[in-house]
Amino acid sequence: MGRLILVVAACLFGGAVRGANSGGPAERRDALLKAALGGGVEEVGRGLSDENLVVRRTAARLLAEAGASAEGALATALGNTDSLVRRTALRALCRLRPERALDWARKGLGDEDPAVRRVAVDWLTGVEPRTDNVTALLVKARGDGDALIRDAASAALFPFQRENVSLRNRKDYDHDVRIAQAIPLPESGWEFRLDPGDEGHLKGWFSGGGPGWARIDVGKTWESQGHAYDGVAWYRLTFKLPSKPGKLTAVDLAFDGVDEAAWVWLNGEYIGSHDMGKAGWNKAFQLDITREIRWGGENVLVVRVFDSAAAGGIWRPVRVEVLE
Amino acid sequence: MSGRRVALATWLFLGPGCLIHAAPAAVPQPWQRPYGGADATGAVVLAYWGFEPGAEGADASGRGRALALRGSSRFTGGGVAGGGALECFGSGADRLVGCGAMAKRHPSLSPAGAFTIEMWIKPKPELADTKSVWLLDKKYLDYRKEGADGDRDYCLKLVAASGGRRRLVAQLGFGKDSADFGSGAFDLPSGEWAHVAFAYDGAGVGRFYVNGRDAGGSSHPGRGAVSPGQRDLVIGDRIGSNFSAFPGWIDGVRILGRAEVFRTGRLEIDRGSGRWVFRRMEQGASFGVRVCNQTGGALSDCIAVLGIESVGLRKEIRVGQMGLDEVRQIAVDVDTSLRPERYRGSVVVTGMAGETTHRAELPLELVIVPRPSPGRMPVVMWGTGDLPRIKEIGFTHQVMNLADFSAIWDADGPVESLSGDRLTEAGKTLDEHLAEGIGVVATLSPGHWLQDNAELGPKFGRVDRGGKIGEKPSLCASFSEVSAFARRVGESVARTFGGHPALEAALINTEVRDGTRLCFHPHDLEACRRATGRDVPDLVKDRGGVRYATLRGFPGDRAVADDDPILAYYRWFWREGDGWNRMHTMVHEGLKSTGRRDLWTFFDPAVRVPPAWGSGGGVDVISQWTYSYPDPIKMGQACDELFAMAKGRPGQRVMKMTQIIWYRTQTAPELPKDESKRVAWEREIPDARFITIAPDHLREAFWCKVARPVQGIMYHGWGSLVEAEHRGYRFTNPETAKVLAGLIRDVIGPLGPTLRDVPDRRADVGLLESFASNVFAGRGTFGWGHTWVADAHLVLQWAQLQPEILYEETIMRDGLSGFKVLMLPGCDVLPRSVVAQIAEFQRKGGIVVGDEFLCPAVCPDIVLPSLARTGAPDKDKAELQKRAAALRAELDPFYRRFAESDNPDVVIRCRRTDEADYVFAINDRRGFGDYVGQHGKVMERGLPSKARITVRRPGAVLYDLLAHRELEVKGGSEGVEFDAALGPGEGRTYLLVPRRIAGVAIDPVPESRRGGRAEIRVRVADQNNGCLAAVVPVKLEVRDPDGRSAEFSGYYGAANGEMRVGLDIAPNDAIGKWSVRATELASGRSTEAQFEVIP
Repeated sequence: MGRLILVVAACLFGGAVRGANSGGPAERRDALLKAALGGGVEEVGRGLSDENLVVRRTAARLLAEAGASAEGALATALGNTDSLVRRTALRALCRLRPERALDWARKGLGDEDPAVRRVAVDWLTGVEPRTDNVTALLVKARGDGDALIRDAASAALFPFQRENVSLRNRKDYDHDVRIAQAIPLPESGWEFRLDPGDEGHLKGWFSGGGPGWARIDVGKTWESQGHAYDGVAWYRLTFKLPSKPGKLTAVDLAFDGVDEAAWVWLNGEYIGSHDMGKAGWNKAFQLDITREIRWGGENVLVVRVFDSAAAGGIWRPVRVEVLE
Repeated sequence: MSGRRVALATWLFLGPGCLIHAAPAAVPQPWQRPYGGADATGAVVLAYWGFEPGAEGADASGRGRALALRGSSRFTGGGVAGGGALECFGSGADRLVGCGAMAKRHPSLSPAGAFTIEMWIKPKPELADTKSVWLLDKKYLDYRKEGADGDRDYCLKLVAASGGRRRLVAQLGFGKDSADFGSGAFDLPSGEWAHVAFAYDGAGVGRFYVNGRDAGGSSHPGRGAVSPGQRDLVIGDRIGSNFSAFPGWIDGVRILGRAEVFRTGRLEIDRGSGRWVFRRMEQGASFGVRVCNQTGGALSDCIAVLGIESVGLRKEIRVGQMGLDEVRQIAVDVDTSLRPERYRGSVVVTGMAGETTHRAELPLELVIVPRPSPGRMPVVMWGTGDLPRIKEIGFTHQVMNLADFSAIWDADGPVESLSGDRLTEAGKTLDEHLAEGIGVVATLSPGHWLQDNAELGPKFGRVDRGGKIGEKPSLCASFSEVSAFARRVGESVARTFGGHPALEAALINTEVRDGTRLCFHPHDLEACRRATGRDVPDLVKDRGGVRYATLRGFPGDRAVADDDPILAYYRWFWREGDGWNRMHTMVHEGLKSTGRRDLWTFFDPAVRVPPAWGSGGGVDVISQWTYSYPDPIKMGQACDELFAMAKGRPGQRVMKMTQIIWYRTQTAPELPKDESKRVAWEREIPDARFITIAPDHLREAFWCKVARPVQGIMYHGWGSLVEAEHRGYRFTNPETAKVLAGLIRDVIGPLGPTLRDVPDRRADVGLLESFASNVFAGRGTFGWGHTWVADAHLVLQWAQLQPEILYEETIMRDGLSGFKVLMLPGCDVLPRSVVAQIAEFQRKGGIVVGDEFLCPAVCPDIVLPSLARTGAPDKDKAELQKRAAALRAELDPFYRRFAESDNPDVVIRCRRTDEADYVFAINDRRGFGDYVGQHGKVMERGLPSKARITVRRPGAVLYDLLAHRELEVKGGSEGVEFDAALGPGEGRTYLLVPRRIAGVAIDPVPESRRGGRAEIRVRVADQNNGCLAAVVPVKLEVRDPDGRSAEFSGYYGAANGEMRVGLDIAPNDAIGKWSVRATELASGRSTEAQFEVIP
């Protein structure tokens, strides 16, 4: 073990070396594979300092497979200059020592490389039962700059999930799509409720009804209507639609802008979300509502909005769009 | 009419279809002169307008249904018998003004049962510019329309048919709906009077007559009299709105209250629905002649005499007595061992009516066509074009409809798949195709028919968990009735047309799986339970899978158990659960039920599904259509997906289709507002929705296909390939068809048989398309090539790698032995057994390339970051090629390519057989052109490229298979190098063999007798005087003493450098010295031999 640590240290502090075996990268890699077959953790560990990244990653993988005997080397590998080595090491360590995994995951979430952070969030999402510490880290990950990490954390924290792709964005639809009819929803007549505890979705606010809702308009921010607030808030609108058009292929609910993220229910059914993090505040989006829309009747639209800073709310128009 | 069949045997025969009535002794018929007496005024006459001068608008029946002129129409002289007529003027572009002549509504004009409409018409030349004109109208709404306004009375229209011919269509309203009755096509010369009539029996059967001759009809069982309407009656145009007048003269319009039978007054002969074109050596071939007694009385001593002078044939057939209107079918065996050519002759029929001899003569033309070369590569027009241009471009097949699904559905067992005139027309069309050497692909989509059927669609539609039918039609193909119907369709087509050699293939249920949905009928639930051992998991909501992120307790390493209930359900659903694959199999088996083993079936688009085996069921061939933009090399990616799919069914073959059409929205969406900035096609067809693929894209896509062991290629979009009648597909680039024709002529023709015979080189680079990741993470391409998973394949191509696409099933079955590099794009979730195989692969030294999505249970050796395309094709390509370069650099120390080019834009691909390698080089260098490139969506202009190509095969001799010559190479211990200069989108095919070709030889051919057999053996020898261990393209030319090319002259792939061709010498072949020339198309060497044919 001591020699292994020395070798790893050489990698960390002395820069990459060619490795103990002579020859090209392929030969050095082959040597590692052979060494691993013989249980040569020490020799494999030397591969972590190889100048060739594939050789180095091979070493990390072989150490991960070696199990407990390679724990020290793997812990040190968390500081390797190659993110893939760090990723492999982090994952192996979380598996080897679950009792220490929270610390490693916390460290991993701070890694500069999203590949490493993803391993951390992947591990966190799988922890059962979920402790407050785990939840706190997932909440932090929900604000990550990397979409995959953000999505994974959000999915773990938010119980409503649905993939919703508008017909116009479907890559598997072999026809042109046009908007045959656009039905603007009113800008006034909406209801509004703050949700500072982020619990409305757990209390069923999406099902419509219930007290405590105030009037609000869309097409402008909630700040401009007297709500100096950042966090989660809910919008609700009851609206009627005419009878079903004769020809339609799909129906979208089109939002021109929600600052900054939105989760949408229609007639009590969860429709989908728009969550690109902060970058989503001015991005139009559409959600398919073909199955949930009620033509010739009353519809209840509920939108949960999250705004992390500055202005927030449904600040641009909303429409029902009939697609052909 | 009665019908009897007289089977006679002779040794050959045939003929074209036009009916000739040699004129002596035609018995005058009532319709041939203006009606008078009871024919004009009898009780059965509802109205009769003779347009006689002085009483032009009068109703000559005396019923008082007088006519009033409308619009520009007028009464003129020049009627059919020298009297008056009604002259109408076509509506042209102005369809707002009606013309013709109108009679006021009256109940007597709505017949209570049977009725007949007849009239004389003389068209003007401008009729040729019309698609459909109205001869008579009392219906107005020529479509189904419930209520007091619609589905009442009748109308008679004249519509355009193929070849400049016309058809009559009558539409009758029955109150709740309407039904169309149609005639067969007939010639209608402008400036000549023709008598046309429609007779309805009041019980669902309508027949048409043209000049007294039966012109076909339709049957709608269960119908009765028309429902009376309240509209006026108009002759020569529609009653109102959207007018479309008959341009010409009309005379002698009569409406009768019975179904009249019209006759020509002659003995008639035609070829009926029989064949007149035969394939050489076809077994059991026979020809049918139909004789009909329309003289108006019985005939005695009827005799048919067949004669073909060129082969000395004269055959007399005694027909005997023929009653009034009796029809006889005369069957004549055909000797198909005759030399392929057209044999002209005649059949003359005579019969006696007392002392009067009736005679009819039919000129005949028997066509015997040569058998196609055995290795011919199909080039399918997935659509229908006109035969001359189909042939000129080089297509070998096109699509045709051969089934009346409604009739087959109603039947208990196999029936004739078409009947009546449709059967006759189909037979003629098949003959025409056979004569031109074009195979027919029957398009059979019983699934679509059922799904779209207003009554049956909902009955057999898919249901949700609550048993509710979805709004969009989606057939549950798992019903036993549906399976039985599918088989019946196949059996019926096989029984009806399976004996016709022009029918070579069938397209089954095209494009059905895109719309498939989960289904919860009791039989679906039971099938799921039987297959998976479980009920459908509650979390399963739709066909799109269940995202792992929504599943609490999903494994953190995203390695899912192989028998995970959700995974198992979807695997079952896509492989068999949705029923489509079995339905395809049923049609396929039905088609094979009569023993036509050579008839091949196919399904497309076969990879518009997740990566799971089974798509297409038991069909012989799977195919896929692909749009070439933005990067034509995606054609190769889609091709490789098909091969991955076919791995699940050993023996299943792959063909590949390129879309001729391009979506305007994807390629040139914005029409420049400034007209001066529009290119030519934008000025000419500003509203085009589908345009023509750019020629350089077509060329490159072509090479991407043939560089792989496809068994055929296909194209769709006839209307965009040539100037033709279009249905939204617009012809915007005339170069494309020329390029395609050139490629077929220069590549598919000479090299096709060879290319079909050479398998792929064993891949050592794999690319996994993960089914589990499709189910749990929504990954996959669905055959569209739009996603990163597909782009990863492009990266590998640009990195000079030759990936084989693997499905998880392939890895589970075959492991990863033999692979050195494994790319895992979008593999978020993997089955545990696959993870284990990958780990084992890595332990043995395999390199895994992953992306940021990769299942954490797999530790990649190299990371290839995904790319989200921006829509700017130049930037996207540059980014992807940058990744390719980086990947190449990372792989280089560990992986040596067998072949590569030093130019990433020149993509290399290899195939191999025996000791021979076939190296393909494809030029993917492109830029924005001025066809659509100005829109910035597609780089459609190919640019020339140069590359140094390295093949790591020391000491190889190199041949250019297109130039037919040896090329110089620079050799080394590691392999050979050579330079290639490629034109825009161009491809090359090189053959590398260990020893130089020394020559080509033809074994001595023994003397052969007429009617005997001569075998030709050709050998391509190498320097060691052995046969070249390769499939070598060979051109074989066999000529008779008169210099005529013989059957089986053509192109071959000589496997192991050797080929044998058996010539069946015809009884009428020329005697004397025949020549044989064989040219191998690698080095261009040729040799010639002769043999003797004796009597």
